[in-house]
Amino acid sequence: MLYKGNLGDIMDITILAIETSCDDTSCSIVVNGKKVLANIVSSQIDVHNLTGGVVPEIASRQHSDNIVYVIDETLKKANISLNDLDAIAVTTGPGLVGSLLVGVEAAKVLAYSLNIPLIGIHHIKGHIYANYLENDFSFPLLALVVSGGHTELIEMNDHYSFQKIMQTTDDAIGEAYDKVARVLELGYPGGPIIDKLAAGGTYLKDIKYNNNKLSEFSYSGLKSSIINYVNTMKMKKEEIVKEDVAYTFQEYAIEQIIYQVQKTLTNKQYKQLLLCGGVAANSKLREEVQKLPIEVLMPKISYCTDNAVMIAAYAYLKYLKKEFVSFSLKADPNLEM
Amino acid sequence: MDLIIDSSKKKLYIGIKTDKIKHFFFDTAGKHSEFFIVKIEEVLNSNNLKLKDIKRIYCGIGPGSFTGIRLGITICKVLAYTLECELYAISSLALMTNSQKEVIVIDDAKSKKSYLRIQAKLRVDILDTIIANEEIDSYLQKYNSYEVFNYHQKFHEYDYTVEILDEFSQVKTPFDLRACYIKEI
Repeated sequence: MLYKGNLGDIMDITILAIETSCDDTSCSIVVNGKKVLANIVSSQIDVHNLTGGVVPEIASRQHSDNIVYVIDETLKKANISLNDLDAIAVTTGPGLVGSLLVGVEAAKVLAYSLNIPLIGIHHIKGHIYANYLENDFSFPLLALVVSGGHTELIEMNDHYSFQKIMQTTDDAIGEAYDKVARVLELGYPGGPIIDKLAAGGTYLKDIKYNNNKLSEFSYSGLKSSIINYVNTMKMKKEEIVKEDVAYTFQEYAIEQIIYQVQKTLTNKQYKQLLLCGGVAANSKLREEVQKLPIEVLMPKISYCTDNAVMIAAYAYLKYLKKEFVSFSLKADPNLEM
Repeated sequence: MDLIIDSSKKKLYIGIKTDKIKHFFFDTAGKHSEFFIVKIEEVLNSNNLKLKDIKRIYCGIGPGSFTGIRLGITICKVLAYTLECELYAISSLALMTNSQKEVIVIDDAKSKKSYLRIQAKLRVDILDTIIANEEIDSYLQKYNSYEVFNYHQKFHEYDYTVEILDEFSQVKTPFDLRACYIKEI
């Protein structure tokens, strides 16, 4: 909406964003990619805890049941009406196709019926821009994306260029957290539970692992070491101290991240390191990255996991470039950067 | 104007009712999502109608393709929410038949199963359910005078009638529109 002020016309851009790429139905309203008017997340953790992970069809059904409720709550919380919106943004991928589709269709209907632009957002770019809410970016920068589906280093030279320079050769770090949590019978999602448990544990020398020989990210080897240890202990009928297993796993998991980031930082003069994705909420990781010789940005804990605020933040930069999409927009579970 | 939508079947169905009803079917090659809004826009434009002319939305809630059902439900809910119009739901099996006749509806539910509904005029003999494909013959024999609809696309695909709109049940608010999947995951 256009406001007349002393300094002339100042355009405030109000964007409603929807994010349904996995198991959370999220809707947010953000002004100019910075000012959060409302952020509503309807979590399905209780539903998926029963199965130890996300069942895609159940996730899609929940999204479809919740979507209008979540949009309505967001508008009420922001205390604005549909007509105050300047654009609608939505995550188009990557993610679970059935889940993405619900968000994409809802966004299309909103944009269509309100006659305002529609903006499609890449989920990972959203995670990177969770950092934009409270900071400004200095390029070139290095974005570390760590989540249940991703373990990547991305180089950015401006707001619109994303170059993947390292990724995982097998499992994502968050996936390894979930699997270790399952082996220890701790529940889902594994990240926060293991992080909390690790605080009361010590190093187990029986779990042997070496991060330094890896040329890229890899978590299947570490995961196997942990599973082997737990199975061996069970066979020997010896007591498994879960805190210690959690501590040892977390030490190795985070050590690997720091090792690869350090290596990459010596290759080029980056101005900032951005922590992005669900695992950016990990206390050990947040502590260790601050020891690195570079300015580090990290999102508020609540904006680390999937949320629509980050989608609205990047949508603002796309709005400025008028990068709008048509109503034939499709959800793409394997969307490339 | 009333808007009628069913996306649970292979062809995307959009109906509009002003003084009379018009039916539109679209072959989307399995991509209902990419065509849905585009086709609604096209149908409204070609009939000189606007979104805000919509007074009531009628939505087929399944059974049928899980993804298809969800698309229709999501679109109808959000549209009813933004337009603040009335919203009605009906079984997608009932929607495809003629409520004035005696009909047996059998629709492919994949994995050697079928969705079944049997109704005679306004009386429902068998409410939407799922059966194994081996059972189809016994139902066809028992109800041999009934007209067969879409027995895996060998019979009538549809016989949409205006009277069917009376059989929709009104949904209190857009929040309350729920899918009818029947088949377990």
